[in-house]
Amino acid sequence: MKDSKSGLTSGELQMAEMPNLASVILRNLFRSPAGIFGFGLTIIILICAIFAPVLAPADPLLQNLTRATILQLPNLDHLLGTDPLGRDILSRLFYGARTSLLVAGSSVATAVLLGMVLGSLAATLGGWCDRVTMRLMDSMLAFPLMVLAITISVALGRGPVGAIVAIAVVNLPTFTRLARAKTLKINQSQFMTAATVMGAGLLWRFVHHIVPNMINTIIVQTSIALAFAVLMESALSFLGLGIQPPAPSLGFMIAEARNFLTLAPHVVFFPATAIFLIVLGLNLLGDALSDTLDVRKER
Amino acid sequence: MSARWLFRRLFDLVFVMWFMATVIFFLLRVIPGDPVLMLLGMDQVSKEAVAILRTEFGLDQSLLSQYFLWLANIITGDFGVSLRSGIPVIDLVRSALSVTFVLAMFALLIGVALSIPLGIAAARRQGRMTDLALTTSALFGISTPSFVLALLGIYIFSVTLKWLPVAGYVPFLEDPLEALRHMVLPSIALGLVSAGILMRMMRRSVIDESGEEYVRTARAKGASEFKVFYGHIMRNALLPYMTLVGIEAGILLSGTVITESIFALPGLGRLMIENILHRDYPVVQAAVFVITAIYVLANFLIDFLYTVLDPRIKVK
Repeated sequence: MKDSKSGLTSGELQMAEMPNLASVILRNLFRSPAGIFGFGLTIIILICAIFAPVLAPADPLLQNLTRATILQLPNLDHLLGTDPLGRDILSRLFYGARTSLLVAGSSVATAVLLGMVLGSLAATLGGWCDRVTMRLMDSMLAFPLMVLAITISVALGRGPVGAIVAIAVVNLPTFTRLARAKTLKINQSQFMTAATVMGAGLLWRFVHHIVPNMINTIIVQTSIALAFAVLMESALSFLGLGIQPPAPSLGFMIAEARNFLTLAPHVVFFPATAIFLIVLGLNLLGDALSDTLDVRKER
Repeated sequence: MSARWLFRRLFDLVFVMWFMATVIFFLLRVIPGDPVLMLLGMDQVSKEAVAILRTEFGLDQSLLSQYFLWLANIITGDFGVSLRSGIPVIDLVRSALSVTFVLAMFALLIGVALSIPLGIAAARRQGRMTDLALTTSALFGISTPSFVLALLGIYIFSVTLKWLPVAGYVPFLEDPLEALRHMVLPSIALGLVSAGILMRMMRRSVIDESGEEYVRTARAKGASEFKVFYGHIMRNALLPYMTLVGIEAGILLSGTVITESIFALPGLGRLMIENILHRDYPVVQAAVFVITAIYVLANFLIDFLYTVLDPRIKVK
């Protein structure tokens, strides 16, 4: 790609005009308390998830089935108590957050990448390619999301792969439509005409012009989609369709513990709070980002 | 709005329905597991018994002819009989639909009843403590999975206070009061999430409309604050809000799966989940199809109402 000299020049011009995105985001994010809180919460949760093996005080799968060791209230040995099988809840929360974010993250990443490619291809190529892609996306949006996700994850077999594909498919239409709308606008701009005239190829234009110009909108939508994906993952595992036991997942922890609601409400309460905090952090971040990046006005 | 527009939308509707029916059919056939073996028990079944049942259910025919039979059945409204119980699927779906419908409408009612006044209150005091408190609660509402709200409700109102039943369903005609008592928690658990989403929309659109030129004009002309707010701002702010109410209605009608399974309500979602586990194809197909059809129809209706309500929208 380096030999495309003309394209490189226009690409550099384009990049030079753009201030460093990350620093702009961070600077503006810290202006509002909601932004700081959302950012902080998300970072803390990310740290918990990434360093789960280091932070977890016990083996999340280690059972201890005696009357004294199950359903313990929070104590010094088990800071958040133990679950119906005598496993340490705090450790399970760390690992549960990890799987939650892993499933949500990889499904949203798939949807973002595929959506950006499909959307900008549809917008750039036009014609039947555009029509077929968008018709397909519209038809996918016509399905009730939860029902679609359940059917897909059942069809693909229970487990992480089914859940990831299901959540990715459910999120794909939004990103494709967004990318298409943005690309249509970008393609009309003068720098795009200039790049095309100078002979920039499809891939070059995509990487150096289209992606940098729509990344703001995509970032905002990504944080919203992540919050939604975590909710959906927890719902799927609550129904027993996501991560399969004994691997810890927040949704299934709640499902397992719900029969003990009367005896030991904390066993339900802790994973529920964990899901709530993850989603809250992402939602706050999404709200703050959409104010910062000023996407609302563009829509 | 022209007849041509309506015709095109109806054509789209039929296309989407066909697409859905096709996807549902083939997705369900991918699911591993044999319904006949599930029905007879995994082992110790004679090959003859399996063959007889297969023929009876039409499972011995090719996939393609099963598919066309399914399409033909949808058109005639005949969804066959349940493989497990032999009850006509249409009866199962009809009774489940009524449960889901009541639940979704109660939830929507709660959502609307909370979101309009709270959304207005927040917007009118934008940036002050009331606004902050209300938007924070709305954010909490949309950040909580409905099954968590459901379990929290059960713990507080059923287990601790013993005011409401833990779960179960009572038909309305049998005992109206008990029926309502059984519906309170499920509809609140569903409705609070909707309330959060709807309130944010109400607040946003009131704030957006308040900044419009026509509001300033109305004030300049000396219209009373009451007239400005209800005659001008609200009239316009309600449009995007109503669209979201429609979307929310579709989501609620199709999104009661988990709430129904927690509260043991015999609705469409539970019908779907239970029969997926037993590979009862006719029932699952019909349940998924009906849920999806309702969702699509609700969205169609919103589009239609929107063009009626807002004459500015020029239909392509």
